Amino acid sequence: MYIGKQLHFGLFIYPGGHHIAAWRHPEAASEQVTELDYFRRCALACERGKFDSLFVGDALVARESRGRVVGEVAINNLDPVSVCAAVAGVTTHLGVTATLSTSFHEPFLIAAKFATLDHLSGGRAGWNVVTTSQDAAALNFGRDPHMGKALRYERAQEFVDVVRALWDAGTGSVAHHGRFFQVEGSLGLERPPQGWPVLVQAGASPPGRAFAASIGEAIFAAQTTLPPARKFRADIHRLMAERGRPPHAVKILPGLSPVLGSTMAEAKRKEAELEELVHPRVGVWMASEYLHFPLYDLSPDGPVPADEVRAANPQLSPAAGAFLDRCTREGLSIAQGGRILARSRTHQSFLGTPEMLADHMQMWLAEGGCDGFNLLPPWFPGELELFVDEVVPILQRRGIYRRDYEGTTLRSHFGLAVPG
Amino acid sequence: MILTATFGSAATAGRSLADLRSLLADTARAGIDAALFVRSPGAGAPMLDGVALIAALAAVPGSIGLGAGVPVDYQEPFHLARAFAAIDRLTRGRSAVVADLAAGDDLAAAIGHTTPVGERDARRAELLDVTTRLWDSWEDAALLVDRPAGLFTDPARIHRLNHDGAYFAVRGPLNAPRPLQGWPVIVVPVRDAAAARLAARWGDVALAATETLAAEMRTQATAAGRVVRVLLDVAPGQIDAAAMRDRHASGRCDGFNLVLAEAPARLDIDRPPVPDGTTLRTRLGLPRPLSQFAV
Repeated sequence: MYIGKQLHFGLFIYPGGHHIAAWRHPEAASEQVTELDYFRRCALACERGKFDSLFVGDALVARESRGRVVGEVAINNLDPVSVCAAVAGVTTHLGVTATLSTSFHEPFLIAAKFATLDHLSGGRAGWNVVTTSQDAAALNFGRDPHMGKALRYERAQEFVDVVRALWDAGTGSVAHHGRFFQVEGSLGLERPPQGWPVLVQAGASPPGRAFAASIGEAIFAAQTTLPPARKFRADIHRLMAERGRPPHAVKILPGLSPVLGSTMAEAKRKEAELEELVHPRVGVWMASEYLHFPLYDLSPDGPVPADEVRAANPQLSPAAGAFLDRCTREGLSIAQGGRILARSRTHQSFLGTPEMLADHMQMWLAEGGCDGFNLLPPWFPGELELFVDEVVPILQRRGIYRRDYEGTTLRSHFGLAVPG
Repeated sequence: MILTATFGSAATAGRSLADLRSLLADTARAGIDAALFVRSPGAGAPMLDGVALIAALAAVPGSIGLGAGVPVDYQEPFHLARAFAAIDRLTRGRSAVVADLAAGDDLAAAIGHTTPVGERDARRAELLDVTTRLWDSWEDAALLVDRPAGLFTDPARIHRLNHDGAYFAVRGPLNAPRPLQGWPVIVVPVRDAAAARLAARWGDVALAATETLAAEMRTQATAAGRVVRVLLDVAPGQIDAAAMRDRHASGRCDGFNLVLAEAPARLDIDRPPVPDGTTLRTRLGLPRPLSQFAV
C-alpha cells in the first residue's frame, strides 16, 4: 500500500451540469433534476468512485436578468439540506455536504438541522458555511439591505461558535450571550456521531480566508493554476498555525471541471459541441452578473471594459478581479469572456484524456496545490460516470487514491479527527 | 376514513435511519395515510429536524404521506417554501407541513426571541399567505426543459411577489419549481381557538384535540367555503377500532390522528389499497390548488 499523499474528491452536484448550456446536451438528465432518481444515480456513481462527499450549493434568490428570471439556464439547486438528507437515505458511505447561510438563519434551528443530518446519515454530514454574497438575496428576507462583508463574517463566526457549543452539549444546555445571538437551551439530542459535522468553507477574500483558517476543515478553493493554488494553500496553513491549528486539520479542494475524451481531439470536439449550445444572451448575462456591471447594451464582440468595471466596483472579489485581468491580458471580447464563465463558472477547466487528467491531478497533489478536488462535471450523470470509470482506476493504480472506504464517516474519509 | 400517525421526537430521536425506515414501512402496512414527524412538546425536548427526517425517508416506496413539524413562529416564508418545494418533489408529491404552534413558547429562550402572543395569529397567517404565494410564483407550466429552443424555464410564468407586509417583506420569485401537489398538504394541530381559526383559513387537515374544537373549526371552514379534513386525536393506548368506526359514522370527523411511539397494529377498519404514485392530496381527497398567478 502506497503511504503518501492521497487525493480526496467532492462532487459538486448541479441541475443538468456545470457547463451553463450542458442541460441542452442530449445526454444530460435535465428532465429529472428535481427527482430523487437523479440524485440517487449521481450519488451511487460517487460511491462507486469512493468519493469523500457530495456537495450541494445554495442560492437564496432566483437567477434574474433585469427583473426577469433567466429562462436560458437551468434552475438553482433544490434546498441543500433536503437533497443531502435524501441522498443519505439512498447511500451508505458517501458524505453529504449542504451549503447553508449564516446570514438568514437562526443558529439553534441550524444546529438541530445538521445534528439530525449527522445522526440519520451515521456521521456523514458536512456543512458548507456561507455568508451569502448576493445582495439581492436580502430582498427575500425583509427590508434591510444585506450586511457588509466584515459584519457578515463576524456574525458567521458567532453563529458557528453557538452551533458547535450546542452540538458539544448534546442533551445538556448552552447559555450563550453574544453580540448577535442570545441562546439558552438544549438540542436534547446526543452529540452528533462526528462530534461536529465537517465544516466546509469557500471564502477567498481576506476575511473569508481568516474565517476558513479559523473554522474550516475542508475548503472549496477557486484557484485555476498551480502557483496561486500553492500560495493559497500555504497561506491557509500559515493562518491556521497562527490559530494553533495543524495543517492536516484541513483538506483543500479546488474546483475542477473536466472535459474528457479518449483522445485530445475528441475532448476538443466535446468542448466545441458544448460551446455551440451556449445561448448568446447567456454569456453576456453571466459576465454582467459576475462583474456587477451591465454589459447588455454593449457590442458582444467589443472588449470587456475593464477600467469602467473597476471604477464602478472598487470592492470587486479577488476571483472577479482575476477574471478581469485575464480578459485584459488576452484581449477577450464580452462574448469570449462570457464563454469562459459559461464553461467553468470560473473554476479550473481541464481538457484532455483520462491519463492526462490523472497526471494533472497527481502533479497538483505532489506540488502542494491541493489535497484533492471538488469536481464540476460539465453534465450529469454521464460525465460524472465517465470520470469514475476512466480516471479513478488510474489514480488507484498509482496509489494516490483509495480503492475502498476505510471508515463510514465523512471525517474518516477526509482523515479528520473527531473534535474533543 | 383518514388515518394519520403522529410520532413525536421523543419517540424518534436516537433511532437509526434503518429503524425509522422500518417504522414507516410498518406504519404504511397498517393502512395509515400519512406519518407525521413532529417535535415533542416542551423546552429541551429532542430537536430532531422534521424536514431532514422526511427527506431521508423520501426513498421509501409506496404512497404513505410524509409530514414534518415546522416551528412556524420562527420561519421565514422563503426558507419554508424552498424546503418544501424540494421535499414535495423528492417524495413524489407525498409531503405535508405540520404547523408546530407550541414552538413559539417552547423555543423562545433557545432561539433568543419570540413573537408576542398577541401577534402570533397575524404573523402565522401572513407566513402562510406569503409561503403559498411563493409556491405559486412558479406556475405549473413554468418548467419547460425545451432543448431545441434553449429554454429551461418560461420567464413569463415565473412571478415576483413584491410582498411588503407587517411581518415579512419578500420580493420573490421562489428559486424552485412549484411543488408537485401545488402546495404540500398543510396540517394544523388544533388545541385552542386560535389554532382552530388558523386551520379553518389555511389548513387542509386539522388534528383536533377535542370534538368541541373540531366542530368550531369546521363551522368556520364551512363559512369560508373551504375543505378541511378533521381528524380527532387518539391518545396512545386509547385506540379502539369499533369506537373509531362509530364516531366516524356519526359524521363528527373525517378520521383520526393516532399519537404513537411505535408502528400501530393493523386496525379492524376497512382500508382500501392506494396505488403507488398517488399524491397525498389525492389520497386524502383534497383539491390541488391552482397557482394564484395562472391566468
